[in-house]
Amino acid sequence: MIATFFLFAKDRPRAWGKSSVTDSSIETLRLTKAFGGKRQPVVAVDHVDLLVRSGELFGLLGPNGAGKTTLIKMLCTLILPSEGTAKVGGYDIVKQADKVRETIGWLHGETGGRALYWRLSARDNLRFYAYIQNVPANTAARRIEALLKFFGLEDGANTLVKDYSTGMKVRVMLARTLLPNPPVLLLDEPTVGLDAQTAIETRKLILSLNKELGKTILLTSHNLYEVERLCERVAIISSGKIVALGTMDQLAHLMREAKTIEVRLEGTDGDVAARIIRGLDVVRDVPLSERLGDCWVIRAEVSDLNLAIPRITEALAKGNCRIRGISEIRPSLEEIFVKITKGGSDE
Amino acid sequence: MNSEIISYFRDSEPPVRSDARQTWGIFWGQLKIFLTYRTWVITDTFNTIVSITIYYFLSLQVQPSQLEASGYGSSYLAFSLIGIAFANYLWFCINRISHSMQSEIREGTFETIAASPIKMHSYLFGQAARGFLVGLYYMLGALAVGVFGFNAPLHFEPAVVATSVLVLIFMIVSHLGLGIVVAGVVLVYKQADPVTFMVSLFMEFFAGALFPLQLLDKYPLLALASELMPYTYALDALRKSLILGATVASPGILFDLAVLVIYAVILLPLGLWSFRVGYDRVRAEGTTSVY
Repeated sequence: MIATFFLFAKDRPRAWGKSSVTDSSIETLRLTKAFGGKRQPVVAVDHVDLLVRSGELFGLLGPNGAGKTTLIKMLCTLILPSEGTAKVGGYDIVKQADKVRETIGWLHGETGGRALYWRLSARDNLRFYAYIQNVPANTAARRIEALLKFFGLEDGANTLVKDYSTGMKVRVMLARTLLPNPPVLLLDEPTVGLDAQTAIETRKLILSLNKELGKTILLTSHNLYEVERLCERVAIISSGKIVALGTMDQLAHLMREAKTIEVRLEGTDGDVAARIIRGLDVVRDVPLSERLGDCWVIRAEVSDLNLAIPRITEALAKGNCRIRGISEIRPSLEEIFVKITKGGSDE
Repeated sequence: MNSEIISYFRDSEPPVRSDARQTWGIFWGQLKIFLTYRTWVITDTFNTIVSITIYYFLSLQVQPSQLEASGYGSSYLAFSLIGIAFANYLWFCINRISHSMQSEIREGTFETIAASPIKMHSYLFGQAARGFLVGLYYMLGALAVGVFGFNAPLHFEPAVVATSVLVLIFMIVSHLGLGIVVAGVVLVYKQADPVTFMVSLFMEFFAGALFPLQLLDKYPLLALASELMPYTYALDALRKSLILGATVASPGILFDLAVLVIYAVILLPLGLWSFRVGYDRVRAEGTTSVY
């Protein structure tokens, strides 16, 4: 652990170390962006307060049009905020934009590889970015070959990008983002368009970059499984506002309705058991009752977990139902997301 | 596999912060991209040859006596060859920056440039350097066709060539600001073909690319506009040098160079400033890309 921390500290260039804050890598304070005129403004990001700690892998979720990309583009200094402020690596995104650009690596995966020079090869695209990202020549040469190998681009490294598949283009974009080794990574849909195997490898790499090199990573993804697997904390943005923020457990706790108990029964009529459970005052709903092989699975949404488990157990025992198991079910991120964003679309 | 790739990111070599290196990077990348458009290069070379041929036949219709009064000798071919070759060169250079900008905004590559630590002036100078180098190919090609194909009487003594190169450098620097202004217009309005066309047309006309400026004496306002064009002074120096054989020691050429320096001092910062204004505007509008 100490060795890892030491390597991470050594890895950070000196200028990046001159951060004016030490406890956070990304911090927004009432950050707002409204497009259009003053008469009919369209508010894309609405007074967002967010704190992504140094070395944290943080997920940002939201339906299409929720404001994720606008928020990330403000952090990249590509869009000026209408109100509020933000710091990345301790640098103000407006007043110290140059410093912020040295601190970040940005991937806009949704472009499907458009934001590359299609008339350059993968190798030349990376060489080009090494120049403009201030990567020293020797380091660039080593990293470019390693990244081409890692992303399986070695064979076509000298082919023009215009002849690549979408997946290959996204891989080049990922390689380009990692090339300068920035301390903060803003990964907007990093695995979109990748084949399953490369997506798995990429997720592992993201995790290693965070755990072993201590990179701060802000990740947005439509793949909720990906966010759930990778991120320590998650924020859900809807209509430009952060509507939920916390660890997976904290988010699950936010959902009063999401307190779910799963009961497994054997040698029992499931319909009868479901009726018994539904009749209890502590049970709000029984959304699932189905036979799985030789047993029945019943899920019940309850108002109080502590009360529900003994009451359900007691009621089923009185009804001569044989319980094989009873446990609390944590809702998936998908369930939380859909509940919080009321369907998952802002469009 | 993961630990291997991670090891490449453990090195602690500090970043190289060099504007010149960034400018070189842009120049190198853009030149490589340009060279992949082989058909375009061939077509443009052909167009250059055809346009010089047209001016050769046009020159046969112009009386030498009409031209002598301008003080640039009696060959209309030499006169128009210098005018058009260098005007095309400048137009190409100015147009290249804005054309690249337009394509980068459309393709989304400008966003990745803008989110990188590159200084905007390094980006613009790199784009311009590519334009000036590629433009040189067409300009030298046009001069070669005129001299070797149609015997245009031009001087190529070492002192004359050195003088012309010096004038060319001053011409480039004094017009770079103009190219950057047009790039700023592209950034904001996403297209600037009418602007570049207008700039090139004004430049060719008011600097007297194809006719002696004495013809404008009857129209004081047009004559004044001509005197305000920096290209007028670049063209005057180039004609004095390449047609008459004057060198940098000549007071006429020194005067032209001084005027070009003044224009460079005014236009370059103005260009960079106006680009910055345009850049901040698109950042406020959130339109650094249009894909």
